[in-house]
Amino acid sequence: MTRKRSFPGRRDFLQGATVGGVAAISGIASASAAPPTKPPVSATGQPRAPGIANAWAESLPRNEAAVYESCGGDYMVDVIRGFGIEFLAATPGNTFMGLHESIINYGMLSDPKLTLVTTVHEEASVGMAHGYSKIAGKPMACAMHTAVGLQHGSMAIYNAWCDRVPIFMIVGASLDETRRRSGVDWDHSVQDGASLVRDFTKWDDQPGSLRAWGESAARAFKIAMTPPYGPVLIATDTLMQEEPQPGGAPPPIPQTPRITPPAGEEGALREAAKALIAAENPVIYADRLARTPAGLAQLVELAELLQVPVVDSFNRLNFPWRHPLNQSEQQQALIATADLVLELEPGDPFSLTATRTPNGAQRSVMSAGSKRITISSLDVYMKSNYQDFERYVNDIDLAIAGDAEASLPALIEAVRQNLPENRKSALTDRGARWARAHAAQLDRSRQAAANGWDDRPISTARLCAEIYAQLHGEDWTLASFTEFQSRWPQRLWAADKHSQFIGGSGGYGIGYLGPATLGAALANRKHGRVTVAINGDGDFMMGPGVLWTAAHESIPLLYVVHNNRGYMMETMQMQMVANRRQRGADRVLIGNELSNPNIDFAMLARSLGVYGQGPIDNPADLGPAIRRAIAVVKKGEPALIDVVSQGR
Amino acid sequence: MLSLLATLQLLTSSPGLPTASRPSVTASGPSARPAGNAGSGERLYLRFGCYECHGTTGQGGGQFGPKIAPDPLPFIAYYRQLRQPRAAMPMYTHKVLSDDEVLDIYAYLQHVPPARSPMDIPQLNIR
Repeated sequence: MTRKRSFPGRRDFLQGATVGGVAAISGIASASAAPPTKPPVSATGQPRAPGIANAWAESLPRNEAAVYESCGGDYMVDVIRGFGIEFLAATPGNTFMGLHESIINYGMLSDPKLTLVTTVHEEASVGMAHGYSKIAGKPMACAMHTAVGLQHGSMAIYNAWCDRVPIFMIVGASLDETRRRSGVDWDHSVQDGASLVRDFTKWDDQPGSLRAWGESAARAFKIAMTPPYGPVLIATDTLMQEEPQPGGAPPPIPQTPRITPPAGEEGALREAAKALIAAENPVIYADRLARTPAGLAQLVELAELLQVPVVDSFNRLNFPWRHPLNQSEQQQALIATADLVLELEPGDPFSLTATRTPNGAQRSVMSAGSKRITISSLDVYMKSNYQDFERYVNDIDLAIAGDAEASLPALIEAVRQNLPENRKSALTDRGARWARAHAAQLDRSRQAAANGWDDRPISTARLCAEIYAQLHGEDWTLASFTEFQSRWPQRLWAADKHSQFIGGSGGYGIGYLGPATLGAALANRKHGRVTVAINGDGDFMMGPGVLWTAAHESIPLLYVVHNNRGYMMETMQMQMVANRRQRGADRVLIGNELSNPNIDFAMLARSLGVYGQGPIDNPADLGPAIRRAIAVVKKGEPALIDVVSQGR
Repeated sequence: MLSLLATLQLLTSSPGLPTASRPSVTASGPSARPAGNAGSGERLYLRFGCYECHGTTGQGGGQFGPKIAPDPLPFIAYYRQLRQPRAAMPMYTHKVLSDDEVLDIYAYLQHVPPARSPMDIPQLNIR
């Protein structure tokens, strides 16, 4: 079979390719539409490389021999920094080279700056943005290569989704298949790339023109920043980034509105206020309540107004750890005796009040006649596939849909208006009882921390106490969650600022801590805060390359490796399984230990340009080591200490 | 290179732990006041993974395992918890852990020295 095709001349070839590309980008239907005001020309004025003229015109990959006076990427930079976004993390990929080049040669050289942060894995890019957002209160951007890059980043996106954190994400997209190179370009192309992560992103789009890109980006930002927060993704055509702006001028920069969160309905909040006043044993449970410092301050105000004990989930710093009304350690007993529980943004309201018996049955621990009120933005927005929404709760008496932080001012005002004068004395007495309970709990925690104080491996209590001894005089952030250190920081440390603790991963996707704590440290850098992460060895080994990013970008962060030389959670669970089968414990470490050889984290750190100490297995050496490392961090550099530690 | 378990055994070895005479133990449990070999008990404590949740000297691991030393539970309560555990704890049947071994581990827990007073530890008294 003979095919006939006409080959264009060189001039037509170049112009046709360009106009075709612009038409494809801008959605202009015909290639006869107005050409760019400054059509691209050969960069050298020389004939193209031998053989290229024989290529199909539509197969010209990008415009490699053309020079431009404008490009789509510059416009994207202006849109992104218009949102107040300061950083974009990326591991390079050629489907977002156009944007990458615009950032480094335009965004980083003009104000307000949009700075590129180099990572060595897309999961690190997303993870950094995750941690950054929880300190900065605004998104960080990240860019990922199409297909494989997004696949790398997907677990970290899931974590951010579960943790209700806004991230502005861009993934490259090679939409015009006639202009892909052969081979890898096709392996790295996908019709609907965002579908991979759509179940756990709040919104995504693949705009068809540069003007549409600006509008989609603005819509994405607004959606990401409207509670419940969430990650958003713009699949961005490669050629749209690289080629000239249609007409040679940028589309308008879309205006970003002032975003207000949805608050609960006032009548329902008044009802909740009256119930709180009437209750004899109310309890407030705060999960992802405090999106901002205002959330923390409002919860303190509400709790003190009613002298209500507060249980903090520790997914944010919702309530000061040493506040007399902080009764988080007494969660089970409080819930069991409460006549009213007010739950603020509860992520798992079923587990809050239910337990599992040894035979697997579940039962509520709440007393008969008790009431439950929830205020949650998750009632406004949720998705159906991944099951992070937890088990349905069928004993809620009043479910108030709305962002809890935005709802608290009205709730507080309603309490003030309805609180009888003759009730205040009883509330004062109640507060005094809780203050005594809090003091007694602190004494018990200190006593418990003294057990095993001189043990080797070093106890997690001592690990945390030694860190705090060096940290407490600083403006500090603990950027890692504490569940695997038996929550010693919450039991021993004093924290009363929102920035001092940011909770955990959300989705328990391991590999979160390294990049997310680095992102938090990046956000803290301009404040001069000392950021500390207690990072398990298993989690850390998922992406140790973040150490290089920390050094390369001069991000001050103290990584303390809680090195128990294994996947301890899995070891414990394997012990359970093996014992049920009566096979003993001798082999449960197989597949779960990280030894033989032991990992030398300090050497690893040094190899990546980071100050490293350890392994430290003598508890007496720990305090001085932390002091030296904090001195490094205060100079603006990262540091790592490898501490051979107990499992929990 | 040391394995995790070997590392723990080296780091936690406590030479000089006493050996006690062994009481009679019935199929359903010990019938006399328990005694055992604390040194052997320490090795067994590590080998059988008790340290994973309770720490290497029984100090506890937060929500994953309560403190069990110093001052362990009365022996009968300790024994029942091993054989018929309440809450999330691996069950140690006779096939997995003999009564003699149970006694040795208990002896080890009994010989964990009392903790220092937290008042004497400056790092625990930061206001």
